[in-house]
Amino acid sequence: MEYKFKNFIITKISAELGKGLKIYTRNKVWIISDLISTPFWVIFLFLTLIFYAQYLLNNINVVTSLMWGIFLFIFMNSFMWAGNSIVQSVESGIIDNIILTNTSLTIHLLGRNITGMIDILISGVIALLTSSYIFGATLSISEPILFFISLIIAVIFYLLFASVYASLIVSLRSPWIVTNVMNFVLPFLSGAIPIQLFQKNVADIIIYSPFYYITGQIASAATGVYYVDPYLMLLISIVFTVIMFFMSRIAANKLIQKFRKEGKISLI
Amino acid sequence: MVRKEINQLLAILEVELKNILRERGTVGFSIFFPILLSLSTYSVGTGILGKPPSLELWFYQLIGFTILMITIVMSASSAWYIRQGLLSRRLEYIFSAPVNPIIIIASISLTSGILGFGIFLTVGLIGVIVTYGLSNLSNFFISLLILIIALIPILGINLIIAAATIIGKEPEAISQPVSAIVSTTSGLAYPITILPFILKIIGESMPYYYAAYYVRSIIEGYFNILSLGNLPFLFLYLIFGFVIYRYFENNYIRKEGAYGI
Repeated sequence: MEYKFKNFIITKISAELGKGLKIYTRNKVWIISDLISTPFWVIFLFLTLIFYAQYLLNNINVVTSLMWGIFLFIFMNSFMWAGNSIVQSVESGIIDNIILTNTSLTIHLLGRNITGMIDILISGVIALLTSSYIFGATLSISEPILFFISLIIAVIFYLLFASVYASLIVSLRSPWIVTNVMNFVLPFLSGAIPIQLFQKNVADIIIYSPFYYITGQIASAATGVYYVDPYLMLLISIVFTVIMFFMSRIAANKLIQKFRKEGKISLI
Repeated sequence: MVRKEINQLLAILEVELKNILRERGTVGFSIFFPILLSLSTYSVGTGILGKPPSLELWFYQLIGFTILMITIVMSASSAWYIRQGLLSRRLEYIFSAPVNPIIIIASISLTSGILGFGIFLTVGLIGVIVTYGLSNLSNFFISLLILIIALIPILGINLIIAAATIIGKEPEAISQPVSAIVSTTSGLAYPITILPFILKIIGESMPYYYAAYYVRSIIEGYFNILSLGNLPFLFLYLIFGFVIYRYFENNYIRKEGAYGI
């Protein structure tokens, strides 16, 4: 029985991964477009963020911190858009089949997330190389082991967060507007822009954000600047990831209840 | 003869404007986005400096982001028009109808221009009042006229994007690199003097930089009439864009026999 259940889950996951990879490799124009656009967007973001304090462009520590900030901006952006992709599933009628086959929303979003992760890998590497080449940022990672552990935790956290986010926006008429706004608000509140760049009173506020312990942890491990003890941060990030797991279950159940009650998933 | 063409232009314009008004969320977002973006970077600036930066600097970015939004709307709408036309085969019967292609393209460009004008009027007005109070309002209204003239050469680049969409078929994939290059090199969010030499040259050779420069200098009162000397050269983009578009359009029809995919 348990074996069958595991097999069932693995089949669903591999189907979603296959779908994601197929969609990604089908649109070659998009891959070329991303390769051309990313270095320009990186320079644009870099100079836009530093506009008010242009003298900091000569400070290698600031430039390196900003480089990781842009990497994390790309990272979070990708998961937010994966959550937003629920709209296409609703519009194309896929979501009804997903719910009828008792598939979790997190598994369904895996397909979109896998393309997002390929994007993070390609765009992230381009962002790091562009920042290093144009602005002289240092590519070395201060705490490599902690960096990769926190990156894995963040991937799991944001996979779950994407499904919670998807179930929250699915009933909206223009969810992409919320996603665009969140894409700018969330990185500022999560320590994606390393908090050592800010004055102490601003940094003191950001450390109260739960997202800081997920995203800010990656920035801290990369730059080696910690505001909170690294191991405490790691522990808190695991706790938040477990909480997010339960939240994603609750959000998915609520969505199914709504579907059963109203006979439709959204207003779209 | 001219009356017939004006009627055709007005008819297409009416349909396209109705389409835009149906998408209220998109219009609202286009107005809200430059404000959100400029306030986000202003917050970062405040966080870094430990005190609020000058409002003039915020206004600099606000105007830049608004022009950026207008150019993105304009380039994306040309690309989407071609793409949707190809998908629905609308383009095939539009171009086979006794309507001059220039009328069609002009009316589409005019529609996105009107939307852009509306975005600039709303956002710019908020920005001017917040930063300068009522004192610079007359300058702002003069800058609107200059913006309209400065946006005309950009239509040439939109025609090149439209031509590329006929071949590449993915509107966003084609308009995105253009938006990225324009955003980075045109001095919209920061002065181009801080850019590497090559990027600076790219920025100075495109019309977007001048649109932002003219608007800012008029509003802030340091406009020099001699700077308009570059404007006639920028109109070469319009001619160049039209030639390229017509070449690819004719080539596509000759090879495929018809519009459509």
